[in-house]
Amino acid sequence: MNTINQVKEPSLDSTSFVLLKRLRKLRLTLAATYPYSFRLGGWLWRERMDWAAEFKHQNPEEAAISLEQARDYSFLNFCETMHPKELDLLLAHKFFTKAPEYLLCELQNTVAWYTRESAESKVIQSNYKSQTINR
Amino acid sequence: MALSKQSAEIEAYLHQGAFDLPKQSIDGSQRLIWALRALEGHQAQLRDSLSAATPEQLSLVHSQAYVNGIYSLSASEQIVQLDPELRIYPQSWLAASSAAETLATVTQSSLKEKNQALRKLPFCLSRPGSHHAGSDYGLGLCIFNNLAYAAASALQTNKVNSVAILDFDIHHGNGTEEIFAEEERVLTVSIHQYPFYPGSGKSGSEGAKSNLNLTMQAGDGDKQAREAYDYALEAIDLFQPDLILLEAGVDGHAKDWTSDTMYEDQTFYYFGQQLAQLQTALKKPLVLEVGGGYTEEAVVNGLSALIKGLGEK
Repeated sequence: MNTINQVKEPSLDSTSFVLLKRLRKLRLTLAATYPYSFRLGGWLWRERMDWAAEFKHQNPEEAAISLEQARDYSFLNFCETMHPKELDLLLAHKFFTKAPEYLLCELQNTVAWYTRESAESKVIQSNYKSQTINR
Repeated sequence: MALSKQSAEIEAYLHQGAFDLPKQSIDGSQRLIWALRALEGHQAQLRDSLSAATPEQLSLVHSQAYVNGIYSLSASEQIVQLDPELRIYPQSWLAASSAAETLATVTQSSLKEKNQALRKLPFCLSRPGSHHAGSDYGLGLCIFNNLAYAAASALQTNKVNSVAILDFDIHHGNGTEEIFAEEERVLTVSIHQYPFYPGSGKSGSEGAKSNLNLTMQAGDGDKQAREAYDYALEAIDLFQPDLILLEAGVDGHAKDWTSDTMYEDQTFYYFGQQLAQLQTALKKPLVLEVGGGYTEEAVVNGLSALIKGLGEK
């Protein structure tokens, strides 16, 4: 089993690490936004057997679900709640460095989408505020 | 825009379960209502829904474990999430398996028609979606890949030796590409925005034996879409398929908020017109399935223009 201690020192300019930081800054989770969350969960299931054991213990029904994709998705959600910082380092420096290009591309798309949505929401809020003040 | 008064005669199939499935994120039954509105004024005939595919049948294109998993979850009455947008509800099995079977049955039926020029164009209005579902996963509102299932079922009957799947939904048809990655009898062509959801489909990244990805950029409109489309149809013409399946997504429309491309009504008219001409030349069946479209204006106007174009042979 690999642990974070075996992961090389994080490079702060790694694309995926920066993207994950941006997502967190928006107070968003991968499970709520990233379409391939189940792929991350599936990888973590094999990579972090200690987390998988913890998940099985705390969520026996979800761990035993009949569809692997559903279990993997649920497991990623669990990891994000229980091990948020370690998770991001693992993903940035072990998963995304070797993952197929489309997975990183979609992480970029996801962060861009929600950044835009957040900016638009701020504009709407600010318009609302100015309207309220004008009234 | 000068559109012809003549339009294709459509035989529309609204599959069982389409309206029973709860709304999943942006995928609502509203799209089918808009699609039906697009058929108004055209020679469209609504047919009853058809039967559902069995787990064994669906394993033609999906892994047995995945199909069985979806079946068990639906039977368990739980609501389970597979990705940020895709949930499996108790109604999901019937909705998804009947959407797949409807397209496959309609396709089989179209193969029996000797004179394709006389045949009404079959158009399946299905929900949930199709082209993002891969062999062992669901994604982005798609549970089973109806296009892949219909193509594989047609090949299995030995009535056809080759199938072309054309997909101009603005999102890459990743699942269809993945399922047929090793299948030389199926040509998959996807015209989509890139980079964009679901991250795959970069031009030149094709891993499949017979696959073509043609990418559009944010801001691209009618001119770029026509160029890509002409190239796509040339590839299909060279492939000389015995059957063409079309994923008719209109979410690249300028009025659709989900994409950044600026297709106009005449873009979809052109898509229909050019495809109808190719089909006439090939004398092979063409079967349509509705794809993405997330605003009323995009769906009603886009599909309506496409159908008018398809009437131009």
